[in-house]
Amino acid sequence: MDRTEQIRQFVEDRFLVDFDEDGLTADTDLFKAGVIDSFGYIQLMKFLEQEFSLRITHDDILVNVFVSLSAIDAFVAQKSAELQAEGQGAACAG
Amino acid sequence: MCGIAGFVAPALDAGAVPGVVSSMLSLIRHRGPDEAGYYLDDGLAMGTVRLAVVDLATGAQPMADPAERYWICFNGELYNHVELREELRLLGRPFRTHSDTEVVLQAWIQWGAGCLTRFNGAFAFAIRDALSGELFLARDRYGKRPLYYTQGDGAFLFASEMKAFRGFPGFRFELDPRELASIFAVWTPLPDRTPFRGIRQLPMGSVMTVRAGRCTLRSYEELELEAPPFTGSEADAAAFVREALRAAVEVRLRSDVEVGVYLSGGLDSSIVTKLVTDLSPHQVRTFSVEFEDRTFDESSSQRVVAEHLGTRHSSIAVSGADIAEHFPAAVHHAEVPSFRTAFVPMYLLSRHVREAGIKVVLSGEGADEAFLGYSLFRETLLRSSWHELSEEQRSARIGSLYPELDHFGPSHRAHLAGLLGQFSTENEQLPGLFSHELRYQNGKFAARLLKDRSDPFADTIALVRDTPGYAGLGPTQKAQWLEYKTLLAGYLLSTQGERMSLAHGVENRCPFLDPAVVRAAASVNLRFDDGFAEKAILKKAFRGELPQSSLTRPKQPYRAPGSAVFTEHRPDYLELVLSEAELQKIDGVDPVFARKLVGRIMSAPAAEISTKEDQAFIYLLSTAVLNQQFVMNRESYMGAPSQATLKLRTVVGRRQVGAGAVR
Repeated sequence: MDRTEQIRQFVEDRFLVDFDEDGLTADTDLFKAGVIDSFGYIQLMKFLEQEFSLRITHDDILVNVFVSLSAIDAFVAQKSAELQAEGQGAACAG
Repeated sequence: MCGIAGFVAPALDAGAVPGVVSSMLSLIRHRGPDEAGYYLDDGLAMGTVRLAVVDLATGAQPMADPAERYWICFNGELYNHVELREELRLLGRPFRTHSDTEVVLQAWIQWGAGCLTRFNGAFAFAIRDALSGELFLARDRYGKRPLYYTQGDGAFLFASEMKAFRGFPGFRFELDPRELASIFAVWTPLPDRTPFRGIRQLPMGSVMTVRAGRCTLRSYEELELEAPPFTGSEADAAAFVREALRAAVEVRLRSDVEVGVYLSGGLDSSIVTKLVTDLSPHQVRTFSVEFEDRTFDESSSQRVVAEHLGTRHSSIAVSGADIAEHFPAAVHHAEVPSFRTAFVPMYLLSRHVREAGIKVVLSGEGADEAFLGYSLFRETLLRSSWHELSEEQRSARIGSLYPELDHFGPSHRAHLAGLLGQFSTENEQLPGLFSHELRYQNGKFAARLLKDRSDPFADTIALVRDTPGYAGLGPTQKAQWLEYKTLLAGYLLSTQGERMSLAHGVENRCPFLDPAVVRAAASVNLRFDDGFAEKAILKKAFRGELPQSSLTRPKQPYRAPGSAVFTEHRPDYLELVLSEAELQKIDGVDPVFARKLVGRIMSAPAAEISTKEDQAFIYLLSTAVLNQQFVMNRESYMGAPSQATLKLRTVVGRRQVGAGAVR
């Protein structure tokens, strides 16, 4: 399962939605659609941090809007790339 | 306290009328077990089941003026009846009893509907003008007492509880999916709505005239949340608030029977207990609910307050099994779907109070709305000033919200900042409902239980749009307005309040809903503090008079165990939501989503079930139970019938057509 599919699966399982059947797209605002609430939001953040081994910082939250599947996916992609680059940088330095 | 019911039905066979009105009254006899009476006129009948509290001997109803032109069926209490009686006597109005009912009637004769703004009370009544042939219905300003009506087939029916309509020939209940969606979305019916097709409520603060089969409804008093700012010192303000409350409690102790207090252990009911203790010549009795589950239990706070104030305290312990067992009976009394189970313990508490020989209690309802006690108000203050605050200020204020919710705890501050930032002022999505948008996320989820996915907030948005003066209120006042009109009237005072207490013939009175207290609160709120110290002025007003713990502990919202009680105890009626065939029987419910939700609730560990899932499940279960009780008429789901009997004492007939005058 690729990253996008993994996030989508989590959202579907956790929030009892089906993107296809419920007419949601990757760009649907999941707050406006009534899919995510405050409890779910915190769970989603925890899931992203654990599943993709990343840390969502205060600055990340200020500049990113976690409202749609595509926005969440893009954030995780960017964050993972940064982590990888840092990892490589560290390896080179070593 | 009482219940009223009646109808205007010219086509109904005259011989059947006494039986029909008796049957309607019998269905709400739990509200007034002491005596009953009805009045018959051409094409009209109305009656009262009475809980005798004031003027036990001569306060029987229906009651007329000496000329027998005006007839009244009255439910509730008029707290300022002593003062109004004196004023009316000076104006030459005659009195034959000491009851507040007669004061209402004479005030109506003297001032017409203009009397309503003079009333300080909790009431709903019907007045018949036998000369003009008009029928008037009115309800108190905060919606303390209920009044429902419905029209069809040439008949107009009204009653304190909808279940009375079952007594009228040919009447059938149907769920209204549009109203269910709105209830699921905003937690309660809107002020004039019900979950049933064609049944409406008289909104709080309104009066209706029924004349020649036509109804005219108008508001006699709008909710007033603005008051001239208090100009004295903070100490003066605290004294001013204390005196308003003392006076409010004093008039609510007017009763010919003993008055007790519901003591939750929190600040508000402790204040009420303190004032009742001061004003009573005898030891005061207090009553509480204790929970087996420590997460919800407040018994230690209750005992501290009771000991400090020297009350004769008693409590009942409520378990998850008790909630599961009594849920259907409590739903039958509530008559609307509920998002919580917390009303069930109140049903059991009122039974205990009644068994203890008490039929009037005072409680702390209305304090959080008036004095900005809810976290919702702090959340509104925070989100509406989001861009003016530093990160540190935001984080500190997030810390003061919802201490009872783990996910608002310290480890999630950064995440929550991201969430709340999306709900700041410029992002308002539901016009006029800014304060409640985050809460309404839960409602959006629950509304998915309905097949029809049209906007469940449309009627609420229309309500605030069409309310004069609403647009000019500040964010916190709008939040207050919504709380008064929805959660307070539509759940706390009704489902969790008077419907549960009246199930066992207990009347509740709320000093914090005295108009003078509401005005006092409006004049001092946010004048001496920023709103983030919970009910600061109220605490100052009673400093030194209550145990320190009552003044310092953070608010603990009254809650009860949720969906876990049903999954753990598996009552028979759970089948109503476990079975696909049963789900199909509920008009408008989407069985696909309902099945997903039920599957999750039944299989996930309790800690992983979110508030919105829990609420949606209880909505679904309570709707399924209501469907059995009201739509399908299954008596086996209605709980044990009231042991009260209909004690018919007064029958007045003025009919000229079809039946002789029986008086």
